[in-house]
Amino acid sequence: MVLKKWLTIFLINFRVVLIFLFLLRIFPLINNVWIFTSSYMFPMWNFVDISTELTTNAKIFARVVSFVSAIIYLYSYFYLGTAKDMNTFRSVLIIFVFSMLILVLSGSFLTYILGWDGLGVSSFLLVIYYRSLLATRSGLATFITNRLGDFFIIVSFIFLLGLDTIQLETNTQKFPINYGIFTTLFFFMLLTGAFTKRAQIPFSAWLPAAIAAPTPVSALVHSSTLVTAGLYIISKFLYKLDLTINVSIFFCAATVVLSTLAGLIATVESDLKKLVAMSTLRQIGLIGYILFLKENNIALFHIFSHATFKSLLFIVVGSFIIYNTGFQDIRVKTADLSLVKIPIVFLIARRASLIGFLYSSGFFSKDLIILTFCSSGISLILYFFLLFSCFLTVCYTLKSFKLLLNNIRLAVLDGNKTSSAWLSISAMGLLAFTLIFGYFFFWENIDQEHCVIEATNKLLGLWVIITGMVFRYLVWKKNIKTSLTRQSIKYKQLKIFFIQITNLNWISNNFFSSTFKNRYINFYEPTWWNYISEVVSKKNQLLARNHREIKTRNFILPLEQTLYFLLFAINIIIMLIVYF
Amino acid sequence: MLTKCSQFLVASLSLSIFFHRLYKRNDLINILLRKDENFFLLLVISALTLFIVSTQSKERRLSPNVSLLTISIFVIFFILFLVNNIITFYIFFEISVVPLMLFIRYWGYRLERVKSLLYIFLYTFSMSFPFFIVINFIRKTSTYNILAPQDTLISLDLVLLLLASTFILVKVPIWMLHIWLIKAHVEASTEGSIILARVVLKLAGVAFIKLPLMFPGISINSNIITSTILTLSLTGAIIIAFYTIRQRDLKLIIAISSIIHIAFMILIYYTGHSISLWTLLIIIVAHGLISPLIFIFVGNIYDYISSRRRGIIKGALKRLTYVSIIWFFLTIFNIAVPLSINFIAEIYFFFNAMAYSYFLSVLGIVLIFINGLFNIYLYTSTASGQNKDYYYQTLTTEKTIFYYIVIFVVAVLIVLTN
Repeated sequence: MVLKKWLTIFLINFRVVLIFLFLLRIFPLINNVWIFTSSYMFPMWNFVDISTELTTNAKIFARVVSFVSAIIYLYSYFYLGTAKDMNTFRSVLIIFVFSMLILVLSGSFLTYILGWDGLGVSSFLLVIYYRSLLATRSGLATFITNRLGDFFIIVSFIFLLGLDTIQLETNTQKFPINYGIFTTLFFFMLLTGAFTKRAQIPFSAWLPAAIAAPTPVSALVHSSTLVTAGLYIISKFLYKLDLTINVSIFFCAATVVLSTLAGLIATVESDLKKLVAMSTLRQIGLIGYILFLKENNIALFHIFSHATFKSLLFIVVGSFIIYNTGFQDIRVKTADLSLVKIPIVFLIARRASLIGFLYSSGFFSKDLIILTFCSSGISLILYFFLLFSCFLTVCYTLKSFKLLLNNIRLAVLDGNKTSSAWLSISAMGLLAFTLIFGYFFFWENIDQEHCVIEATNKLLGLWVIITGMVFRYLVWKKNIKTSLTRQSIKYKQLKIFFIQITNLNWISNNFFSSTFKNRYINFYEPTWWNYISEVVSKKNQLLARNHREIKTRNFILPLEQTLYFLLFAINIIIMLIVYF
Repeated sequence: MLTKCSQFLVASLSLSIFFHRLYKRNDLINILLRKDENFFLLLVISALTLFIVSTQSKERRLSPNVSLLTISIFVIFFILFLVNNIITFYIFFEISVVPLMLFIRYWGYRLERVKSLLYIFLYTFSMSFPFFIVINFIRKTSTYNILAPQDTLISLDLVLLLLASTFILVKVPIWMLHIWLIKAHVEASTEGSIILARVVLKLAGVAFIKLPLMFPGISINSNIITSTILTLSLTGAIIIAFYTIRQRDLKLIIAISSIIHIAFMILIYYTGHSISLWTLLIIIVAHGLISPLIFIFVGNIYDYISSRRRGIIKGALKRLTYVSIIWFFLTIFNIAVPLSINFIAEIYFFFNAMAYSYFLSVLGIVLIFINGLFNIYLYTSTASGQNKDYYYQTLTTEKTIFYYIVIFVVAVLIVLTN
C-alpha cells in the first residue's frame, strides 16, 4: 500500500525530528531580544504578519517543551507498544508538539491562533485515541472548551483594532494609545479565553475528563503544553495594561479558589490519574496567582519545573497502571508491586518535587511563590487558602502511596514488563532534569531581591510539609481500623460534594447525551480497559455491589448545588469588600 | 464522456496559464473570453467537480444521462461568464435549476423528492418576480448591457437593487428562504448534492458580483435594509446551527453547514468593504471545495450501510484509521482550522466584519464556535463511540481518491495568496 510506505518514511523522518528536538536545546541563551519577522502580506491588509519571538523565556520554554515531549515520545513505546494505530498516534503527537512550539515562539496574533487551533485539534484526536464512549465524551468536552477559548481570544483581539500589528512582545511598555474601555474589554476577553485553556473554575470540566486519553498524552497535555498556553499569553500582556489592585485581587481569588477546590477533590479521589489531574489544576492555580501579582519570571519558572515533574509523575503513574494490569484505582492492587523497585524510587523523588521538598526544583519554585505572598501583603485570606492548598498537596501525594501499602491482591505479576528500556531511559532522563533544572534556573534568572525575607516566613514551606505528613499519618492510622468499604463510602460522598460544587461533572459526562438526568447516576470510576471496551466485567460488578449505597441518585439536589456555588462566590465578594 | 470533458478542461486550464498576461490588457480576445480574475479560479472548480462526479458515476449507474446533465450544468456555468446581457444571465441562471431537478427526479432515493422539486421550483420562481419589475425600470432608463461604459447609465435606487437581487438570495440561500436547499440535499443523490453544493450556490455568488454592475454608484454599505438582511442571515444561521446538533440525518447537517458558510458570504457582501469581493471569492472557493467532498463521503457510507441515520452509523469508522483520518480532516476544514482555505476565509470574514461593526464580528465568531460544535459531533458520532454491529458489517475499504483532494485543499493555501 502506497500510503503505508509513505507513513513509514514519515515515521523515519520523525526520528530525525526527535534529534532536532534535542538540538533545540543547543540554542544559545543570548540576552538580547531578537524578533524575526517574516511578513507574509495578504493583499491590501497589513494587519496580518507571521513573526516569531526569541526572547530568553520563550527559548527556555521551547527547550523544556521539546525535551519533555521527546521523552514522552519514547515513553509511548513502552506504554502503548505496537498497537495498530501507532503511526497515526505518534504523528498526531508530533503535530501537537509543533503547534505548541509555534505558540510559544509566536510573535503575532496569527501564529498564536495557528498554534492554539492546532493544539485544540490535536489534543482532541489524542484524547479520542481509545474510541470508546467515555473517550468521545471527554474529547468533545476538551474540544468544545478549546473552541470557546478560541472565540474569546479572537474577540479580544477585535478590540485592538487601532494598532498596526499586534506584537506579542514581552516588553514593559504600555499600550501606546489609551482606549479606555477597550483595553479592559480586551483583557477580560483574553483572560476568559486563557481560562478555558487553563481550566480555570468555570471551564475546568475538561481537565479531569481528559484522563480518558492514554497516559503519554495526559503527560504532555497536563504537564506542559495545553494548560500553559493561556498563561503564556497573559504573561505577555501583563505589563502593557495597568491592572488595578481590585482586578488583580479578583483574579487571584479565582485562582486560589481553583487550587483549594482541586486540592480538596484530590484528597478524596481514588482514581490515580484523576488525582494527578487535580494536582495540575492546583499548580495552575498557583501559577495564575503569581501571574496576577505581575511576577512573570517566577510564574514561568514554576511552569517549567511543574512541566518536568508532572510529566515524570505521569510516566510513573502509567507504569503503575500497567503493572497493576490496568486498574487505575488506588484501593485495588491487582499485582504484587513489591517486585517493582525502580518506579517507586522515581515516584518518591518526584513527589518530593511536587511537594516542594528540600532542594528539588519544586522547592525553589514553590518556596518563591510562598515567600512572595508574604512580602506582597495582598490579602490574608487568600494567603491562608493558598497555604491550605499546599497542605492539601502533601495530603494527596501521600495518599497516592496507599497503593503500595494495600493488601488486596487479585493477580500475580509476571516479570515481563518490570524492566523495560524505554521506561527507564525516559524516566531517568526526566528525573535528572527535574533535579538539576531548578537549581540552575533559579540562580540565573531570578532577582536576588526575592530572597530577602524574614526568617520565620522562610520556614513556612517546611512547616506545611510537616503538618501535611502528620495529618496524613493520623488519617492512615485511623483508617487501618475501619474497613475499606466504609472508607471508600466516606470518600465518595465527600468527592461528590466537592465535584458538584464546582460543576465539574456536568460537562464531562453529559453534554451531548439524551439522558441528561443521568448526571447523578453512574458515578463509578472506570478502569483502564473500560476506556477501550464498553463492556463492564464481572470484577467491576463485584466492586460496584460493595458501593451500591453510593449510587448517587439524588445526593445533592441542583438547588443545593447552586447554593453552594453561590456561597463560594459570595465569600469571595465579601473578602473583596472587606479588604476595601 | 465526463472524463473526456474533465480532461479537456484541465488542458484548457493548463493552457490558460500561458495566457496569464492577458488579464491586464484590454484586447479583443480578452473581452471575448471574459477573462476576469474570477474566471481562472472557477475553471479550477469546474474541472474538479467534473472529475469528482465522474468518479462517482463509475461506482454506480453508468448512464449517459448523468454525464449529459452534468455537462449541461457546466455549459450553463460557462455561459454565465460570457454574457453581457443581464437578461440572458437571468435566463441561464434559472435554467440551471432544471438539470438539478432532473437529477433529483431520476436519481433521488425516496418518494418525498417530489415535494423537494416543488419547493425548488416555487421558491426560485416566486422570488424572481421582483426582478421582472426591476427589469422594466432598467429597460426604460438604461441598457441591459452589464459592461457598458458607466457614464451613460443612470444610477438606480438601492431598493431596486435589493429587489432585483431576491432571485439571487433564494439561490444563495439566505436564512428565511433556505428550506429548498435542505430538501434538495436530503432527497438528491450524491451527484446531485455535489452539483448543488459546488455549482448552483456558486452561480449565486457570481451573480452577487455581477449584478451590482448594473447599478453603478450605489454603496451597499451601512443601510437599514442591508443591515436587516445581514442580521437576519446571521441570527438565522445561529439558530439553525443550534438546530443541527441534535439532527439525525447526516446530509441535513451538511446542508445546514453550507447554509452557514453562505451566511458568512452574505454578511461579507453586504458590508461593502473594499476587500469584500476578494473574500467572497475565497469563501466561495473554500466552501465549494469542502462540502462536495463531505457529501461524497456520506454518500459512500450510505452505499455501504444504506442508512444515513446517525443512530445507526454510530461508530462505523472506528476500526478504519485512514478513512477516519480523512473524515476528520474534512470536518476540521469545515470548522476553519489553520492550514486550510477555510481558515483564511474565516480571517478575511473577520476583517470585513470588524470593519463593519464590533458586534457583528462577535456574532460571527459565535457562529464559528457553533460550527465547531456540530461538526465535531458529526465526526465523533461516526468515528468513535458505541458500535451497532448488528446493523451492518464493518467497513473495510480504503478511499485513495480523497487523499489527493485533501492535500490539494491544504496546498491551495499557498497558491491562493497570489
